[in-house]
Amino acid sequence: MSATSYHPPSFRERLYRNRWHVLKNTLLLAFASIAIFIPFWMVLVNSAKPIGEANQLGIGLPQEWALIENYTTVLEEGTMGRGFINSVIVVVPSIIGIVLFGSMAAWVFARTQSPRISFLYYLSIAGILIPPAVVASVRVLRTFEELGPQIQLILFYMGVYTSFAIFLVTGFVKTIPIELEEAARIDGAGPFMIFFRIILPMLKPIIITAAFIMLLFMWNDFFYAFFFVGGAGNRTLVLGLFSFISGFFQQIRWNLVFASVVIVSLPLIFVFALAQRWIVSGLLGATVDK
Amino acid sequence: MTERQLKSGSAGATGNPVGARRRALPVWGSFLPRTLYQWQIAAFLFPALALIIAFYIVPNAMNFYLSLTDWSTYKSEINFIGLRNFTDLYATGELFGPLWVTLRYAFFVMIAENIFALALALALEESTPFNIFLRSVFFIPVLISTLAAGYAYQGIFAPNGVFNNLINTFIVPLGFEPVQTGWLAQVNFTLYIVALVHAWKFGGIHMFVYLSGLKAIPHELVESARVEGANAWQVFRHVKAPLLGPAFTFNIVLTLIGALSIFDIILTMSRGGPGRATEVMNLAVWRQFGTGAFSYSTAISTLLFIVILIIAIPLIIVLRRREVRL
Repeated sequence: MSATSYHPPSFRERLYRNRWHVLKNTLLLAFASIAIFIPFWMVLVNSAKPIGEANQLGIGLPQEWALIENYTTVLEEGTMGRGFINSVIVVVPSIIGIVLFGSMAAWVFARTQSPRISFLYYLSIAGILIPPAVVASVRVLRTFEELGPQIQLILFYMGVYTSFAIFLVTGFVKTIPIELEEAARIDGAGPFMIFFRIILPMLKPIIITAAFIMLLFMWNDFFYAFFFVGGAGNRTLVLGLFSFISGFFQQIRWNLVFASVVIVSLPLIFVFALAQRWIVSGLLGATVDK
Repeated sequence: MTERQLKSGSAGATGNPVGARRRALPVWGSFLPRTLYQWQIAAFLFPALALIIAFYIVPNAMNFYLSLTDWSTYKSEINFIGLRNFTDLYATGELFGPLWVTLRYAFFVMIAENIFALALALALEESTPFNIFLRSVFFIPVLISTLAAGYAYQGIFAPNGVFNNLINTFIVPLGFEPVQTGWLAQVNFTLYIVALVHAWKFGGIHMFVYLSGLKAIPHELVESARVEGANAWQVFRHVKAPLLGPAFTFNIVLTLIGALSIFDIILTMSRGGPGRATEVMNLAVWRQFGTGAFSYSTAISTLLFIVILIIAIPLIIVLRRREVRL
């Protein structure tokens, strides 16, 4: 940093710069507390209060704790355990399919220059721009009615979100030197061997990023899932949240609302906390410049 | 560019890696694979393309047709009725009403979200432990479900909610009247409050896009501008902002599209109310679907499709032209 500056900063300058840093960091912390900490704190403390206290919507600590009662009520009445399993059943196969098929297509798109291939590329990334026509999709996927709503939703997600994986992975494949593939080809490897043994392992960082973004989209998706999943037994976690809270038509029970908000949010926060290092470096490294 | 051509030249005329040995092979001469070599390309493209075409392109095309029919839950057969769905909806104000709400919402979200994300990215650019921690903090809203966030904000902006309670603890001791405003029941500005929550909810991911753009800027450029006496604003305006071109394009387009097709946050915060003041197009799609008038909901989503195309494509062209490359 100081290699190009022509004089070392004087004490006065360093003090000034430091002061500016302290001011900036104080402002950032103040902003983070108002924008992030207070809302999350509000949700957490109110999810631990009995109903009368929670409905005053304060941000003080509970005078009377009802933490365990609230959370067990939500888990039982809101059938959150069933919802969690249903979400996993839909989201995990979708992510695997999207990432695998998306990477395979992205490899061809990144390595081939021909008008027809680029036409197919733009066709397949159109899904980033244009949202799916969900009502018509429900009609198309009714063909697979006997396979159950989960399979229909998985096929729908794969059709819609593979575009995103193709877009991200294509940009990444272009940064992998093609010489690696040539060397393998000279040694007699076929395309399947080259892809699965050489390219796919090198795609790990972008695959983690893409899989995580897919997880965000699909785990938190309410709009599309709502159209596909009707029956109570198949509801995903977010659909369960909606029907649970919509059930309070007489009087809203804020303590249970906030407790269910916490339960629904925890899985992804947990995944992010575990894989934070890879996700953040992937997000920072992902290029949006094709 | 030339390096790329050189590389592809060494891999055959088209730069195709999939078994390209002879230069003269016609690559992808027709959509039907003609050689083993093309069969292999097709094998790699097929699963993804089949899924995308069957479950994304076909429904989108079918949606166009269905919006011209009388498909509903009350009839067994579907008849072509031309533009009658659109004229019906136009007559009751249910076509351009939601469209106008959606456009105002999307424009406001795009501005707010990009300012929020860019300001955070610039403030947290240096990778100090403090900044790395705060990046994750501002990313947390992205993780939680939009529906859940909407419910939490209903509690914050209720008349007796956390927001009013906090203000009142400061102003009531000073002798002011306590604030009792229901922030989510205002015809004039509830839409913009929801838009701010939207920016808060999704800003974190766009912050990372700006951060990765900032990381790609060569350090020497920023440093030499500083040495020549540019202040922080001038460095941003004349060095960083032009080089952030691709990040601006990506973020502006995606925040706009995300806001145009918003649904869940509006559903939980205001349910389209008060009246129809916050009824965006996807909420109208949902409501019409719920009443069984399926063709009305396909008509509204066709309109949304057209609106997104009309906005996004010229925007991408203009923004990409403005991008500066090193």
